[in-house]
Amino acid sequence: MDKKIGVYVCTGCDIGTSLKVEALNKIGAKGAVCRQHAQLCGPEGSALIRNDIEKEGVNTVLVAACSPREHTGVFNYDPTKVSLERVSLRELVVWSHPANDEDTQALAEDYLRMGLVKAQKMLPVEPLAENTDRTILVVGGGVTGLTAALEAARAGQEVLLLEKDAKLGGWMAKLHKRYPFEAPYTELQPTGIEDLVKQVASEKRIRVVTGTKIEKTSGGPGLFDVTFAHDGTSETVRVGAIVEAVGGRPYEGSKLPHLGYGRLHNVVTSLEFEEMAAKGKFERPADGGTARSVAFIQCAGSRDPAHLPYCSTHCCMTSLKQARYYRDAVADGKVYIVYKDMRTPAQYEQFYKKTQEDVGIFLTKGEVVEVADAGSAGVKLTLDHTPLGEKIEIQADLVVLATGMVPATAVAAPGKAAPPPPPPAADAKKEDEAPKDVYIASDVLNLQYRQGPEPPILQFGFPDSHYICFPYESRRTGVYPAGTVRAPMDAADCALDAAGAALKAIQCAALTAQGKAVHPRTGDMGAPELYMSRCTQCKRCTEECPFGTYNEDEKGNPVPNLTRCRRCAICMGSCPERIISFKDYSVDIVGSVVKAIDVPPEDEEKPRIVAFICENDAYPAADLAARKHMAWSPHVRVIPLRCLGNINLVWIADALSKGIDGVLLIGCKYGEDYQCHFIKGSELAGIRMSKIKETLQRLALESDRIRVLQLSLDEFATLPGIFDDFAKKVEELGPNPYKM
Amino acid sequence: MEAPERIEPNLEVVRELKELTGGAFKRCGQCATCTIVCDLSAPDGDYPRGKMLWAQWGLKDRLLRSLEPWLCYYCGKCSQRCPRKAEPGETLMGLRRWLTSRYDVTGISSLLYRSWKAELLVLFVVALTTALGLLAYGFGHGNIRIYDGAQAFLSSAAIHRFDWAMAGVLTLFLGINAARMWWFTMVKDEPHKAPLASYLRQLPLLPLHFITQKRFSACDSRRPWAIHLVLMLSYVSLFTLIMFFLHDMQSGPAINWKVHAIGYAASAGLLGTVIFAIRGRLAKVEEQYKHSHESDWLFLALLALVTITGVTQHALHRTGHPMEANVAYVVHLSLVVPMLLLEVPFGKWSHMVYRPLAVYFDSVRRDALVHEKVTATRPEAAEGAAAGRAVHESHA
Repeated sequence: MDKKIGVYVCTGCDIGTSLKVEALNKIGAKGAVCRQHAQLCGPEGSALIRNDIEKEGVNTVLVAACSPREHTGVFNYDPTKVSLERVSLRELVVWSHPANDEDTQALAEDYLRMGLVKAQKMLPVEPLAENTDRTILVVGGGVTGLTAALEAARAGQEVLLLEKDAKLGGWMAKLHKRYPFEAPYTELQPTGIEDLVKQVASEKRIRVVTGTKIEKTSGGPGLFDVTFAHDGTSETVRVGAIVEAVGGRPYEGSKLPHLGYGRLHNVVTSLEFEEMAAKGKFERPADGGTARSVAFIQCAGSRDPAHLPYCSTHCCMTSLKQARYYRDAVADGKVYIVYKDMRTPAQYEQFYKKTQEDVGIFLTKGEVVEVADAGSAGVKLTLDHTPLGEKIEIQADLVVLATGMVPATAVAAPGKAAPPPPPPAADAKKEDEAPKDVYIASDVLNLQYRQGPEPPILQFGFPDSHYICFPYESRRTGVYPAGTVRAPMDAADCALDAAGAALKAIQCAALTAQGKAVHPRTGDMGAPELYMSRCTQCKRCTEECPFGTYNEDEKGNPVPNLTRCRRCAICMGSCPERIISFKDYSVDIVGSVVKAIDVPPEDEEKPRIVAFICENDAYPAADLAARKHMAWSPHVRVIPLRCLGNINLVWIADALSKGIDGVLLIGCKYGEDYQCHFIKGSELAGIRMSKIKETLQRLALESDRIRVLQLSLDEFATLPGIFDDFAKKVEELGPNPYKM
Repeated sequence: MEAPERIEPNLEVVRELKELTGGAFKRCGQCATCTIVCDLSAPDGDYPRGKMLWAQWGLKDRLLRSLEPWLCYYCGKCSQRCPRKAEPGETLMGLRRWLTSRYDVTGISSLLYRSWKAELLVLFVVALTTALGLLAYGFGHGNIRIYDGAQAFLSSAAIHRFDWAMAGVLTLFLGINAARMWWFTMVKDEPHKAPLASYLRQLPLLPLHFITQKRFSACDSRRPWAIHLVLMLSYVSLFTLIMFFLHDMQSGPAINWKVHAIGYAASAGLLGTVIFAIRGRLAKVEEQYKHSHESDWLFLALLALVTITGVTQHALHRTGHPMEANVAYVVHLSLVVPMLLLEVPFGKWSHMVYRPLAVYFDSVRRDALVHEKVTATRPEAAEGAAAGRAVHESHA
């Protein structure tokens, strides 16, 4: 296909008054068409471009105007026919640098040259053409699963609901009542679970299969083939996306002997007390007599590093609820609640206050140090650090341990060995290795992914998902954990979670059917292409893909499942043979962009710095800083990357050998509270850059010429300082000896 | 390591306190905002917060041992700032009612606080009895048309004797109750009893606080203290005039400025402060006036009526209406007697003894701690180390 590039320079928004536009047009004249307009984003400017596409046969559009993050709806062409490149003259040049300045002009011209090179190299994308399915699979028939199924069905989606138990309802079906979830938030409410089950049963778009288990899940979004056994047969169904609503279970009382469980008959868990409430009999298990007093121990095994380090969110409200059960049933019964902190957020405070008003409910902060048998007096609790005294003792007939919740994904299923860790790459040194992901073979989805059978875990056994950047998503594209498997939460939150996850699943199935990527590069129709004849089976791409896109064939070749791909291009950065590329993004394209930078001779004393910055956080940060008219060094040339994990040493080598004086890399924060949109791209970049010293030594250059940093969007105001500080350092180092 | 203290809540006490306080204390979440804003809470104390919890649990013994409810003058800052509207100020007020009823040996106090109908009935019966008694006495010994002198309907000499007899009865009851207060707070269950020396060293505090309510003046807002002081001084002045100068008060009809000037000033003081309090309780703007127990209204109503009838009988006498003055006098005394008989030993007015005593006892305890180097074992003192001290340091 012949390239026909249209270059469009916008002169609005201070561009025309701050730059010599004729000089830009001269560079733009390399395109087949070069036009300038005072407002490209307006109807006239927009028509100008569309007219050239239709009448002049322009198939590559280069818009030199505002940031590519602006007016995405205006500069929007069919990516299978027209390639689009945008040069940010407004944010990266005129709003962040002095007007009508020699250096500002040079910056604008460089950006236009860089954009032109990219425009020349990029090709229209070829969308995936797969025969996808849009059915939503909901795994788990508790409150979350039932709600997700209903929400999806009511949105017009076919739904398959699988439940391991013989009946729907989950844990909620075991509860006597619910604590309030609607105004006035002061009285107990029926669970409503039977009604929810009925609604699901009567919804014709939902197929329910109970008493079943997923044997395996292969494929990817739009193409998931789910095999499950029921009624003695095995069935395989194709689905589009999965809501993983497999819930959790209460933490075992048997792990809490220090709180008396298992040692003393009259110590029970919240769930056991719930059963008593359902029967309407509050009896001491030891002798069957009615309990005259009940003591609730909050955070039993929760917020405790030896057990569950986290708060399970519902236990405070659950104990208040159970206190009400008991007080309603036993007239002069006493209830004690011993807490670390009462956590009854938002409207739940109303219920807390209302419950406190009962004369027979006694609360105190305190630490339970001993639970001992007190004979006929029941159980003796010794408490430390209470506002009633440093050390006090209370006695109760019955002790209830308010235990937290554990996600179903936290424990390896019996008989399921943990997957073997991926073999280390042959020549990789230890410090160069990316941190290994954690997989637990919990026998839930049984994914046929090379990386592991379930979504990877970040902490406490919950599927890893950056909730802020990826609401409801996991690191397995198309798998959306919701409810208590995602985070500890109560039923009201589960229902909200279910609706959110169902919506994400529907979006995923729909986008995949159109050959488009899901968040964060939503709508991207490109896909990685592998030049397999040069593959050395090093397995880096299969290991480093944060989303497990690549499986492996028996010879060790990567087998891409492209609907799993989020187009982050980390694989492109990982491949030592550089065989992975996209039609519009490749090692060659970025390398050529670097080479397009004009490097003035040494005697001009104008250093040049390349800043590779992540398009998710650092690049928007630059836009924000520019919007606030914060200025930074005009010697910096910004090149956005999909993820810092794309970084290839060859780009840096190219830059340095061309005479560029410094290279700055800015990615997202990584680690436990990572901000990286692609989980560990910036971390991988850091690891790859640790090898840069050799390269620099080979070139006889100072290692200070390279700087790797992390930045989150809220730190945007520091970005100009980061640029300036690095520019100053580079000036101190003096010119790159390779400069012409 | 000391053995842990066994804590057993008392539902019955919680119920009593709910009645006497309005019950908001059950909402307390122990945030300690009240203790932080309180101008009087001691560095080693924890009130109101700690008392809120004791009330929630109905810890009868601890509450009975506690002097702290008496150390509060209800400026209301705690209630204003309480994020859960748990009314710490009103809770301490209610605890004072509860303590008054517990100190009282007869059980009358408890009955009066718990049933305003009973209180009204008793008031009425005592008033009627007094009126009938006075009428019988008056018609038997004097002439209704004569106000003073030997032929007077109610001669000052007779009333004087009657007053002293009644004062004796009141002092007896109040004395017994005050002794019980001392027993509960300073002796019973007290592992380290304060020595006599401590009582003697701190003794000057008793009259000082009785007359000045010095502690009250430490509250952020000093107006309530000033008003209370006017009320109290007016009352004491009139009491002194009646007990010691009744003859001079009743002679006339010419005005005897030596005693009457004081009487007028005191009556004006009483009437002014009572009107102020009634208006405050109706307006419910100031925190200490927002919640009115029935006993508060009865107390104010009696005081107002007593003042008005007192002034009336005096005015009628001076303006040459001795018969009308005698009638008004009977009404006046029929109100005075039940008011004093019920309120002083069993009701709200007992605080004139309990408050200065509490300040005194508290100082005795501290004195004992300092001089005897006794380890603090009282729960509030032990815990205060953590809560109160930090608070006061940050205040400083």
